[in-house]
Amino acid sequence: MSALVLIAIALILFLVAYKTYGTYLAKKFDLDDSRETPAHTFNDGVDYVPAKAPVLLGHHFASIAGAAPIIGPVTAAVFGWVPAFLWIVLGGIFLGAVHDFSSIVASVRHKGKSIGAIIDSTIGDTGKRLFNIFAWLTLVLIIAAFANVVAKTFVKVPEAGTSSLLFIAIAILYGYFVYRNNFPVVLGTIIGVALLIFAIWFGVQYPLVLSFNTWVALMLIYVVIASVVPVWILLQPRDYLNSFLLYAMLGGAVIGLFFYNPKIEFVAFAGFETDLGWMFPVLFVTIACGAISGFHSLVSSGTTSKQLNKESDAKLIGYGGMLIESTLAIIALITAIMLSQGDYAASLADGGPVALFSRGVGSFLETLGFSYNVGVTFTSLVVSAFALTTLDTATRLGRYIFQELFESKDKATGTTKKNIGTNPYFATIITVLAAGSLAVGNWKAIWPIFGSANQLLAAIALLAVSVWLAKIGKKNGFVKYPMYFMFAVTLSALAQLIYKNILGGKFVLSFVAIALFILAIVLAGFARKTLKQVSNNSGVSA
Amino acid sequence: MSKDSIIIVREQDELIAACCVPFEGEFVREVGKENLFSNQNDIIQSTGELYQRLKGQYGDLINLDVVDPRNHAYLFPRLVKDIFKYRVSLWQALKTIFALRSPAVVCNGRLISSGQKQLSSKVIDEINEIIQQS
Repeated sequence: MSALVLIAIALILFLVAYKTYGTYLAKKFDLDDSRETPAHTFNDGVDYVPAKAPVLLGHHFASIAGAAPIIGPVTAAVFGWVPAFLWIVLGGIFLGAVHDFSSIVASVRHKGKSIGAIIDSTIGDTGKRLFNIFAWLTLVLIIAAFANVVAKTFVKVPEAGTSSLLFIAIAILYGYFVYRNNFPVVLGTIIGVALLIFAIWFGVQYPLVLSFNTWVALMLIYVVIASVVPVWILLQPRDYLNSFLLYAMLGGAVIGLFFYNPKIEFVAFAGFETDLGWMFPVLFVTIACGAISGFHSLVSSGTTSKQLNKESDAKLIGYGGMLIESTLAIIALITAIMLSQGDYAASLADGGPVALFSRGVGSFLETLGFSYNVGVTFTSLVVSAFALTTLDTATRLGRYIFQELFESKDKATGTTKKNIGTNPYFATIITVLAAGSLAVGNWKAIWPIFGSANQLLAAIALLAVSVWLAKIGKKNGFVKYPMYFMFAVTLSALAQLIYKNILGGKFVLSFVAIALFILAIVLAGFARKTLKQVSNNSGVSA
Repeated sequence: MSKDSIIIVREQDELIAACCVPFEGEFVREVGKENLFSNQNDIIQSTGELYQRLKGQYGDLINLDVVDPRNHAYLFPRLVKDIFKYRVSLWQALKTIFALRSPAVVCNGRLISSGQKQLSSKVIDEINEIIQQS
């Protein structure tokens, strides 16, 4: 069967779901354009600015897209293309898009507050402290998983290693000229893109062949530096070039896919148990961002909710934005299932999910006249650039949260007492060392635990929305049942991963999984207690 | 008659394309108690004031948008659309596309201000003049 049929089915289902289920949810949320959004109520032209739906959609999508919706589907294809496809499509429609949509609406109705603040007000101080421990562990897993995947990519596609190092230098130059010397944006971009093309050419000519451990070590040193320098030196300029690369890669991949017209060579169903584990729950945590991602709730309730022009726009941006991301996940899945089972296993073992995806997109780009090598290097560079941004930001946030965990107030003066745990360099080193100890392992072992943590965040966000809806006397089944499902997935995934890692002698991973499991149980307990309280107080079935 | 179009181009205090780690100014300030995007503060404040003045003066009579320069999917098609819609001269069109420095103000496809961290009242005067002529 042609993979184009698969993408056509997905697009039709997404469109139908958007028109039907999305509209149903909008009615359930009682969206009303005559009700002022925080963007209008607090309009200051600074943080709260009403933005038209297409403006906000472009920005929101760029914020939720990245490497994770690519890595997850490629990895989960091992279960066969039918289960992976169904989870992306049905998960996207009934869970992920509902999660993103409801996070925006909940935040808008809470004066644009972040979901963190909403969680804070629903689960209290102890819940917040537990949430911080959970967040730190998640960030450590993110650093480990992305450092591992990128290092594996650079070992297999050393051309991308050279290009990525040059890309860092280009970003610093771009930052110097555009951010410090006010160089015109478009001219800067044209020169930046020309330099990127040079970086790809240079990478193809002079691939940097290093061992996996050397790449991991280099990356960890890099993130320590990148996470302490001012953001305008590297992060902001690279982010600008990244957003350009994202749209260039997406455009190229979609057009190339139509010309290439790949056939599905993979088996439809590979069995309930694979080397990743049992289909339930592992499939549902491996494909996280392509179907549902807790991280999206933080974006939805961050900038997006503060700029929502009218309530009805939440459907396009929240529900629609997630379905676009699911489409990206389907494209990633296609790059895996256009291979036979044997070729897929060999390719995944050889270079990891990013290299596999890059080879697929490289084939698509070949139909547009690019050489295969250039296409593969370009795609590896793009996905690695996203992953490096994730690494930098995760390290910085990990440091903040670690410092906060050790903060205590002086009761007499009310000031924050300093200790070694609150020292930024110490906090950074501990965070990076913890991640480094995991990063040298197998990415297949780390990824599902990271996915579980991400999905646990989704369950918590759905919990916050469920509680809010119950409090205002609204039926909440459309978020409550996805929440229960996500708690069930997370808990069973972590239990299975603990068992598997202990048996495999991976005690550090087991410890992280146990900690997350305990936190998930405690948070699920908070959820049950809070919903029960709301039910008792309001007389509404929560 | 179509409304006049004003685009304020400025970066928000956040990083985008960073799945799965959010990195937005307010969130980072809350978590890390650090103003990471302080280099953007003056720009955001100054463009915010301009936004308020234009909103106060024209209300819904104009199409006023604040767009992040990293939002390529929206910004450049919109600039090109405005250039054609308001029949901007070739020289002005080239200026709008190639001389745009962030922060920038574009009125009816014409670049009014580019790269000025503090926006002067001349910007408002120029916008008023263009709107009156249209």
